[in-house]
Amino acid sequence: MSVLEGRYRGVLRLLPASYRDVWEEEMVATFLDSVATDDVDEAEYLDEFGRPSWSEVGSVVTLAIQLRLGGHDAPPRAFVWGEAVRTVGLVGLLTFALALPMDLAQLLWIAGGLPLPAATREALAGSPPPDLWATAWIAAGALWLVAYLLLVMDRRRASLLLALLGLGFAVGQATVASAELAAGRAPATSLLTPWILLLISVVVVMTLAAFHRQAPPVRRRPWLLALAVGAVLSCVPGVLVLMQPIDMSVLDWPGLLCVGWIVAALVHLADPARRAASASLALVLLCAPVLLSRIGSLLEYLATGYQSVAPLTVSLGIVEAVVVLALAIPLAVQTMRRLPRPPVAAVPPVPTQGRR
Amino acid sequence: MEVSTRGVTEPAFFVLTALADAPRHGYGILQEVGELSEGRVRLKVGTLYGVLERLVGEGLVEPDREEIHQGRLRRYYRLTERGSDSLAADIERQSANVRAASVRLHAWRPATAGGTA
Repeated sequence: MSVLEGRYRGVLRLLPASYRDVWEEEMVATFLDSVATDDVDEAEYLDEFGRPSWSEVGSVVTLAIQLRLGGHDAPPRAFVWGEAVRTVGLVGLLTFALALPMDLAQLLWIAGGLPLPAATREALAGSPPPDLWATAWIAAGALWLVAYLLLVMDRRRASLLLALLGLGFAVGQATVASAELAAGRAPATSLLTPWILLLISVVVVMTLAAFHRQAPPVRRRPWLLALAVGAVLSCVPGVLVLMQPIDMSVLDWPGLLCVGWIVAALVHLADPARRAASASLALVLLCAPVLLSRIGSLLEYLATGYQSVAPLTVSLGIVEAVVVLALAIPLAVQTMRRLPRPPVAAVPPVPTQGRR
Repeated sequence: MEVSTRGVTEPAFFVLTALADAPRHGYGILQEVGELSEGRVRLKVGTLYGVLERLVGEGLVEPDREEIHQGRLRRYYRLTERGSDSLAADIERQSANVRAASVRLHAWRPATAGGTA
């Protein structure tokens, strides 16, 4: 086997085993035919040093996504995985989008001169006007919100474009935080939040690949309802933070995510038969970013000596992380049992009389 | 026989067309699609086999025979009757689009020449 063939077979490993059992040899033969040349020197060079082009690799990656994260006509297991990843993508976009109503509620509350405790008013009077990052944060929230709405309205390419712009903000924030650390103006732990946010943003954008041509359209009504309910609910903690001294706040964003996840997990564990396997799998997958943001924020509080939060926030945060982990394990076991079996390889029949 | 009126993707359309006159193997299809589209569509191997798997699954294309060429497997594919009907339906759909567009284009006048609101 030439190095080129070995490398192409390596790329094909992205495809499900059942698919490779049927198509791998043929794909390899077609690929090698497509790069074959009459020039002996060039052929030898290709054999020893050649690599599949990026466009060839891209076509295999696209095929792997379509096969593993299946749509309408996919085998049951691939369809469940596809639906689960699409749900994770929608929940991720929705979560980022909900930062906007929360920020806007705070701004409007302050701008509208609505009642504020004396301590909060003093804190706001002493703080500088909204800086560039605060403005950028609101703009990023708007981008994620529009990306979410476009996805729900089945405008997938436009949604991806907006989500990539939203990701650009996360990249910018992480880059600035890294530069601050390099210049010695910030502790190493200040990198945690922006880099975790960046990581989660990248994952959310990647999940949008599951909305391919074969993927069914998003069900609009429940996801628009989720946005409306989420927007109202996210305004409440935003305003509550203003209504009490900052150091009394126990309602941090990762905590809210944990509580939301715990409630959903309990609902699923209580009556799994009534829940779609894809929804349970989505919950299991969502456990990772929820835990990551919870643990990252706790580490940051720890490093800053709990200056910005109440001890209760930290204690509750630890409890939240433990409960999420404790529920994630049985939920994962239960979900894996409910997943359909992998498909068996089915070679297309070939008329034997034509075989040479 | 029921034939989808949704139309097929451009790669699938060219793969069906490439198989219309004779069975072909994977590389043969790639070459034929390049020629049919005058070089505009250059299918990658991953794309081709994604399309082929779907067409075989839908019964529009079926394996014809297998050959070993220079120690490697070559599986030939041919159009089924259902595939032929589907291609004919898609040709008709695209032709209707072209006719409608042609009529509109011939009726077109520059904005300065006036027209209906």
